[in-house]
Amino acid sequence: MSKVSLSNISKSFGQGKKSVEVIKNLDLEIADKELLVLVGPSGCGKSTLLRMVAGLEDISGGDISIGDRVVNNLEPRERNIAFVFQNYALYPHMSVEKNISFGLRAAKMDKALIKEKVAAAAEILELEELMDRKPAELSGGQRQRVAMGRAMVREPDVFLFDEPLSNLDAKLRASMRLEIKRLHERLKTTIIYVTHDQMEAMTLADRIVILKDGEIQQIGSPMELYQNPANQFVAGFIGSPEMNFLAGEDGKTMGIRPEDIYLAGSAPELSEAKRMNATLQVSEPLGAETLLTFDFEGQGLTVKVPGVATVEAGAEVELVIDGGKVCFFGMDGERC
Amino acid sequence: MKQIAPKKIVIWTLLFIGAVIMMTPIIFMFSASFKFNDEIYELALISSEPTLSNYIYLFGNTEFLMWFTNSIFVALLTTLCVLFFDSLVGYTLCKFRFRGRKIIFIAILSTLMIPTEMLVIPWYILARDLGLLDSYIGLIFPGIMTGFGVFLMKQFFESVPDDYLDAARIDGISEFEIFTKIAIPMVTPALSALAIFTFLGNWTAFLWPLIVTSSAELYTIPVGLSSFSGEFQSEWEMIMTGAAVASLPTLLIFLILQRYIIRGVILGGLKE
Ligand SMILES: Nc1ncnc2c1ncn2[C@@H]1O[C@H](COP(=O)(O)OP(=O)(O)OP(=O)(O)O)[C@@H](O)[C@H]1O
Ligand SMILES: [Mg+2]
Repeated sequence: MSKVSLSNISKSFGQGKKSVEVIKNLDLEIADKELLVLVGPSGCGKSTLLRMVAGLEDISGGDISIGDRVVNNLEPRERNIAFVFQNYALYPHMSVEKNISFGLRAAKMDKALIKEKVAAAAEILELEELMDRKPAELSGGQRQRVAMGRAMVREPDVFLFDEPLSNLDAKLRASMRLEIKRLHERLKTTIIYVTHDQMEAMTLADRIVILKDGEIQQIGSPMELYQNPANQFVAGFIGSPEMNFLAGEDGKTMGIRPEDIYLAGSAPELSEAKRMNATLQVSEPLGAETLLTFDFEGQGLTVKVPGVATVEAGAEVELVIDGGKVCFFGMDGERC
Repeated sequence: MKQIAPKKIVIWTLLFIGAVIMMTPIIFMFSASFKFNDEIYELALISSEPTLSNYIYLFGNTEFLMWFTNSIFVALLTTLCVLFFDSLVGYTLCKFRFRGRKIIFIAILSTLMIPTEMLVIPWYILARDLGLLDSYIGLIFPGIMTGFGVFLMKQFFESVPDDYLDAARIDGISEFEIFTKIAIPMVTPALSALAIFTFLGNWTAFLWPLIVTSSAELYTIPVGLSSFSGEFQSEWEMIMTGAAVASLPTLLIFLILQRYIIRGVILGGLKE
């Protein structure tokens, strides 16, 4: 059993007057075998939280337990976790093999056993050909796999990933994402995965935690967050292109996703429809779909339509909004 | 013929003049070491009767070999100590947050501004009170840590990302092993530059060894050579011969480690 629980965790940097609270009384339960993704904007405390679980950062208050052990005062190596760093942090003066086996050698594991485990990891990650190379002689994707290998051979209770894919180009990122997902299905280990990329979060996560300024905004499955955001921040953060927000009467804000708006001619039967006129500003064809940006009473409105749109820029068009999909947010940003 | 840029001509001329100025004393040193005493004040580079007798005398009748061994021993041991302590202190100041860190660093830095001439008196008193006068430990102790080295190493450790150290913490080695197995291998260029500077500095050190030693068995080469210069007469040919032999290890180091020295000078000069 390797569930991870954070209860009433807080973290401040600095002392006295200069102290800043980065994590504020945070509670979180990560189930055994779960792949939990922490997302949020830069500086919201994701890395700090992950480093606290790893034991690389002291906690200012609260308890962290892994399995049934409270690990507050344990050294990183005693927590049986593995950490994959954003820049991989492969030891530059060691070969791939030495990098992967370093932790096992430090633990004085039997040499034959080390060899076996390293070989197994190398096979899964297709690193066999590269074992004698130095990290500088590897491509970004290969380094990434070595970093995963180093984490895997430890056979940890929990994997901690801190933006492991952010140094890769878009294509490689997509394929590595898939590989991580496969690895998770195969190893069935608890994973806490940090990213600021909502797309990565959506595709990987069993559950997503959205963090802002050190506070949890919402926890839920990707689709829950997408369809039922708790507040305007979550609604804006999840989904690309972003949800449209239109200022309504009495200070409320109306939120509607770009795919829930239709051109009048091609709208399906809707139980609750709202019609409006808007002027097309820009049309961005993406191949399978087209993004249209409209001007509606001075506010921008993005609409996603399938295939190619034949509307001319500057034309006034009638739009149909799926009223069932609309969310309303109060002045404080909370759902109402 | 290819045109040579005027700028290049100027540079080469300046370099040539510089080289002549630097090389002349060295050439005369070697030249004098092959002369008899009565010819020593003559400018001729090649003696009318060149001789090896100075070298034979130096190794046969003086304690030069002992001074040579002393110099090697002192310079090597000091260098090893400097490498160890300076990198350890530099690493600690760079990678750990603790109360008083800045003040300690400034205090260490400020020692760079105090010239050796001012330090020898406190050193002497210290050595005298601890009974270290005229001993190897007395010779070595002032040099086992240097402000410059601490500064150099600290600046270099700044370029080692903390993630490497964190990765090693998770891999489960001790803090000291993180220092020796992970951090040190990442700063080897700085270490080799520091080693060269320290070795050469100690090889040529004169003032402190002169003050702290009184028996000839403990002299280092510079002190030993100076003993050839007496009250009434200086045996220049012997001094030159000793200096010529003493310069060989230095030349050797320069030839072998040229690359590192140049890199070290650049680093020492530009790294702020
Ligand atoms: N050692 C430190 N001392 C002081 N403040 C720190 C320290 N480490 C992080 N912080 C602050 O804590 C906050 C959270 O940092 P953290 O690195 O956890 O953010 P993040 O969510 O991982 O951001 P990013 O997506 O940019 O990596 C930031 O405001 C940062 O400035
Ligand atoms: Mg981060």
